[in-house]
Amino acid sequence: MSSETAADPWASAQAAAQAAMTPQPGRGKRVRVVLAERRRTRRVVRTLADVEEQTAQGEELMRRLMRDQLSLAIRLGGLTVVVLGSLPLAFALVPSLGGVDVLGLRLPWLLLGVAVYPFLLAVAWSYNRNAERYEQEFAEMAEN
Amino acid sequence: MQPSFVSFSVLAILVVALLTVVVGTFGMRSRSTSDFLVASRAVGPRLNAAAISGEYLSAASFLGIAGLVLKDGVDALWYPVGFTAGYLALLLFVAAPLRRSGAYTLPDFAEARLGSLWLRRIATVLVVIIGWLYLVPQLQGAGLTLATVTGYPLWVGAAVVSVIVTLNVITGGMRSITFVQAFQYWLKLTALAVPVFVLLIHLAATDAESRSSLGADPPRFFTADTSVDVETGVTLRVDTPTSLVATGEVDGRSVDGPLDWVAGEHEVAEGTELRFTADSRVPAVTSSPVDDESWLRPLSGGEFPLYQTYSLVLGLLLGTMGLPHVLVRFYTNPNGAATRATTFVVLALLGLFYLFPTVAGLLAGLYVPQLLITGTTDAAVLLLPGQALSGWLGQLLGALVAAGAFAAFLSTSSGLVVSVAGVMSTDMLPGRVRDFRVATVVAGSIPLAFALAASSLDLSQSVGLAFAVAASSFCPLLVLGIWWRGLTDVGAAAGLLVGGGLSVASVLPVAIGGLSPAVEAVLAQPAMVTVPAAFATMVLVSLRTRDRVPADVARILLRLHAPDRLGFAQDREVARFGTAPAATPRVRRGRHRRGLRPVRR
Repeated sequence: MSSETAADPWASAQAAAQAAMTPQPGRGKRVRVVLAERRRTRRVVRTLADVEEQTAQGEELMRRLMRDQLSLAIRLGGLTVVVLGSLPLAFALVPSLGGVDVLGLRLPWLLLGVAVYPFLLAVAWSYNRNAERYEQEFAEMAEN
Repeated sequence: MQPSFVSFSVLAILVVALLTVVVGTFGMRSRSTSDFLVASRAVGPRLNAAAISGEYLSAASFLGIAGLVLKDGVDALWYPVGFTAGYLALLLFVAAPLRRSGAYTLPDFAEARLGSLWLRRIATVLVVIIGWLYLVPQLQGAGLTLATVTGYPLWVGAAVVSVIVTLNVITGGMRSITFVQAFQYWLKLTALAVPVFVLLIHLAATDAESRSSLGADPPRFFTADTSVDVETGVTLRVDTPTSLVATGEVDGRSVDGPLDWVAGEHEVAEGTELRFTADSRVPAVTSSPVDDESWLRPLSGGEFPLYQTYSLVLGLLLGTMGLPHVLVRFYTNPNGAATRATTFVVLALLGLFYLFPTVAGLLAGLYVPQLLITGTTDAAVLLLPGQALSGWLGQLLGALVAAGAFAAFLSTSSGLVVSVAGVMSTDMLPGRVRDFRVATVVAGSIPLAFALAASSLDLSQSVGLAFAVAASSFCPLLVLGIWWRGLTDVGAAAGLLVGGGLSVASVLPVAIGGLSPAVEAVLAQPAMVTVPAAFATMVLVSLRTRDRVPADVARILLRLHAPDRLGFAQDREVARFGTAPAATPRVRRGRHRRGLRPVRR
């Protein structure tokens, strides 16, 4: 059962070690035994320890990451709110907008029924890219 | 209703129910508590995104939106926009940090962030309330669907769905649910997209002449006492003398009381309410309101359309992140980055799906306008193929839609029952697999009782209430908890009680009636008032109780925000709660980081 072996690193390690010790006919190569995932073998050096131990330097690094992430989220969220929020207002203030035909469709139908979704997707894509970049920078700073 | 259509539909619904159970058994091998509750946190982004969308697209999306488009026109499109944009808000402010917090449920998050057990209890109660508020319309939708396609009484569909869901959750748990949900997303998309494409081709191929022959359908009877609010003036034709009660303007005279219609045409002005008794004939619509300008233009319904629109969208936007079943699904992502990837795919899948209910609603205006008189616009999608296409093709497509609708009830209800039962079993019971099963039965049967007792509302609107409650309770807790160091347990509790309490209480006066229009508008869409109230309460009370800020707040926030590869994130030990001795050693065997747990007070 796959979940059993996954839950027990010892079982898989033992199996791998055994496989390595048993001479295989036709394959005399050495087998590398991986005892743990990469994540747990991370290099713990000074800056990372700073972060973990909440020293002034680590704390400052962390605050900056949070500030960057939050301001990114607020900027993109604000953009979305302004774009979506202006639609009801525009329809209320300029009722004739509701009667405009574009490509055989009324403008409100086109905007709310179709165009909204690619827009939301583009905002999400831009957020993911930037958020990952901030994290990358943080991780590099913390690990070197 | 032709008998062959009934048997087609019942067959299709049976196949969906059967497939749900069969696909569910793929995960049956999983037997640890961790597998059972969170699919061992190892589901890839694409499968997970399909599962999240499959779970999220409920009766409100599958049936409700097309019905609202038929009834309200372009204003109804704010529902799908809000449902989708909710995931953007979730992505921007909550997704990755929430996943890294290791919280499996919202009460978990409350406890992990603020280290308070009594706050956890409040959150638990709110999760159960929101879950049930959302479950009731699902079950009512199931009743409506089965009643529409087969003529069975309303309770049958509700009972069938709750029994299937309860059994499936009991036997399969979370692992199997993941596959079921993913499968059901694609089923729902197909079940709506194929009929819509066929009908569009049909519409392009036929001319206006064949469309006008729609009036030739056989006379229908009201199956129950029915009240109809006429939002755009219509002319109705009755073939036999009909007794009804009207409030408003009929045939150019204002009426308020009983009315006897002779056979012939009657003009009903907009704003009139007609009440028909059961077994009287449904009048036919001679002038279709579809051509009416107000239907095509935005902001034409209600007393305060601008406020209602903003408040609705705010509730949907911020409510998504506070829905208990959504959060549980996010927890099955392996880490924060995968959570972001998953959310992006979810946005794409939802946007794709929501194109179709919109078009279906437009088509319903052409083919099934009589639903405007009966008031059961939620049935529009179900009746559309059979009304538009004669012969076996229409019946087959009708059966496909019925199957898709059932997939919608099954998937959303499963997710809700899993999360409500998960919360109940770990917070109110000892938290073993057996307790999860007991909780599942409770979580599934109580909303069934409510669904049978309560009168039916519009599906999308009653689901909107669950969103409003979530937006005014858990949204502030999550956003402030993730981004603000100053949040305290007392502040969070006060905010949950004020926001959640106000939004839940808003239901009661609406049900009683007799209020000024302004008050009624606020109560019908409370989010615009209750969300800021909840945020303000949390911030102000937290500032007053500054000494209760958890001592290890910096450490907790580090865990939420540090990139995945640094390895600060921590998963909840699923079996930690209660005694659950059998499952605990398994979870301890090396998969979890320990030592960053907040100190309990």
